Amino acid sequence: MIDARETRIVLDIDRCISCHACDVACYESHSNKCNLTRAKFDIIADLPLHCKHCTEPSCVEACPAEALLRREDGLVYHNSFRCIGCLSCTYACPFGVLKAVRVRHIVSKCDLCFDRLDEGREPRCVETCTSGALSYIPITDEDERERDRVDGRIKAKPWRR
Amino acid sequence: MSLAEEYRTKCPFCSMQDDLILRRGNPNSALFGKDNLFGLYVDERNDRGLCPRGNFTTELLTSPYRLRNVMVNGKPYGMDDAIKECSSILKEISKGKNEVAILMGGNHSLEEAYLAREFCNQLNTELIGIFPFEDEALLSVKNDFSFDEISSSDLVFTIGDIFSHSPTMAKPIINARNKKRGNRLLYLDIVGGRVSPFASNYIVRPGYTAYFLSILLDFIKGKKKNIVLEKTGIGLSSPSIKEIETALKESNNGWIIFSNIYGHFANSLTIVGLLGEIARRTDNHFAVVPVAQNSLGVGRVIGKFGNEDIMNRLMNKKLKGMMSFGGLLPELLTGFNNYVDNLSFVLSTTILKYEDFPGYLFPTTLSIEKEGSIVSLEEEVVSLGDAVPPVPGAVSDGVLISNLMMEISGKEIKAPVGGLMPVDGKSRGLHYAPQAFEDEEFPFTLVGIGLPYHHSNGEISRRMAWNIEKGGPYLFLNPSQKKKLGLGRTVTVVTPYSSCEFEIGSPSESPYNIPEGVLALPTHYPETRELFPIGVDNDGMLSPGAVKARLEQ
Repeated sequence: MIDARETRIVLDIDRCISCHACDVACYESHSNKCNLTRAKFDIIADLPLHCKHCTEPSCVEACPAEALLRREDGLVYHNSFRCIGCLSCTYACPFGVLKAVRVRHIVSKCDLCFDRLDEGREPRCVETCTSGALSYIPITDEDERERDRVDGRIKAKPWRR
Repeated sequence: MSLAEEYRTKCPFCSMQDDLILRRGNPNSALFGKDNLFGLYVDERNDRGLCPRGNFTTELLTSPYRLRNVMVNGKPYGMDDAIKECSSILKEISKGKNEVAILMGGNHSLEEAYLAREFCNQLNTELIGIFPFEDEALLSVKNDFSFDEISSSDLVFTIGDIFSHSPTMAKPIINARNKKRGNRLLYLDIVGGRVSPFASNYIVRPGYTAYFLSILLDFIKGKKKNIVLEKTGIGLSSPSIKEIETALKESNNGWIIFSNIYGHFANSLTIVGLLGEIARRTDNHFAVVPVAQNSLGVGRVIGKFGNEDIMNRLMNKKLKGMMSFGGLLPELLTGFNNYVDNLSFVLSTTILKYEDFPGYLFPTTLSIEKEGSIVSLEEEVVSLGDAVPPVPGAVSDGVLISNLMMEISGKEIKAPVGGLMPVDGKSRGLHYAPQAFEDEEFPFTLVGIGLPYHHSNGEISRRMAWNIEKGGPYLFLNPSQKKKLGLGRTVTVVTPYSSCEFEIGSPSESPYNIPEGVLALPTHYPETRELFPIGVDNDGMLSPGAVKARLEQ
């Protein structure tokens, strides 16, 4: 079992070709619901945006229905049965990664494919990435710098802000 | 039907032939519900990932749109009765020579291609062709393809947006570019594509790619050094040709890679010939990437490129029957319905449902639902792996052809076990003439660009996650030109062949940088195919390529 507190999905934006394979993989493995958000920069780039699974997640603080919870292993988990679709979390998230599911009137977010993590496998989007842009790596000092670089260079388009 | 826990097979879509593992879905899992018959896993050996099309494998496998019974003129029919009727008609019409034509798909196994060839002998016909027409050109050259060598090369020159057409090629090509300082990636195409952000871009006017390459070849040969590119109307400046020539000549282990899709390059046959010659003269490798999974294998086992002959006979009423295996004739041949009255027998096999088919329509299987062997890009015979049980009612094209042959002759013919060695491709001539496109009546050029997904009747195109909100065809055009023309949300595109209403895609959704005067189709639907001409193989080029068009509000 992988501890979400010690690992992170990292995007190398110098490798992403915007092929959307991660979107489709997420869609296929989450009962036809894509949990990834896209960061779009006109015609220059269209990058997948993953939940950072923050240590002190503001989306969890903002949720009035306790639909968002931070598990002991660090995973910020969304319970769709509790979600009332108020979209408070989408306003609270500083990275703009939460998004509304229009048909079901709830919110969706990346769950790191937790059942695959329990099996010791990587999240589905990382496994399927065609260009090697996505990786699921342990947070070491060196990787922390890498993460800062990646996060520093991506500015998410906040949802309805 | 009992299912095994795991199937190791090959991705059924493109010629990358990525390894897949299908596992039975875990009903207790939060992610795989009871409706998910299979979970999809990328093989651990396969570090090339899996593209959006590959990720749709499980959905297509269990799709409610799968055809599960025989249809005759749009009405359900029994399989045995249909085979008996078809065989008696075929027996009757095949008494003369070359009365029946067969078109084979590129996603068949070598064994099925062998059976189709035998079927032709039985039907007394030599008319057999491969219907991914854009792949026909690629069968005529020797393919040097090698994943390992491409990822260690110092120069990759891609013609066509390979990151869109075959996304799993992205990793070896980006690895090659990043390996050492000074390594280069060059990109030649008619629109800026997914390769663009990583490469030095050379965008030529649509229809003029072959002409540009012929000038490049002359430069490499040492002729026409004083040509002024700006005066040719190609759209590139003079230094660009020198840059490409120098890069090709200075590379030690360079690769020229050609990737084409339906409706993208005009003169693709010519382009392949010219690139082969350029690679030979500059001492680089040349690799071609077909669209379909096993075009190389099927094309070389059937050993014929009969598309031109078949089309001419169809249009001149010299055919009595036509069969296509692995695809629908009305969708493969745009405008087919105008000629269907010339035929007394029509048969197609298809994966997805199709209404109002004018003849016998049999349900067929995906390549993951059958065993057999295929040819890899490295030209090696490889196994398809485990066969997932086919959906009830569907039979593979190999089984259907065997049954028809058995019914006609009473003899059972089997393909040799263990794979067939393909024969070499046939050499083809070169045609240099650039294709004239836009004129006063049709000032735009319409081209197809990278297909995230398209299949059969377009139902799946409409169900793609990013196409659901669109609902129908959409296109991209140059944003400043759109502003200049004052276009709204929708526009009608008129070509000499048909017209179709489109929604205009927002520039922020497009990874493509579209030059002025170009209309680009990112996804094909059945109605968009009508915009292109029926004529294939005219003037030595594999049309349809780009087509001239005008906009109407």
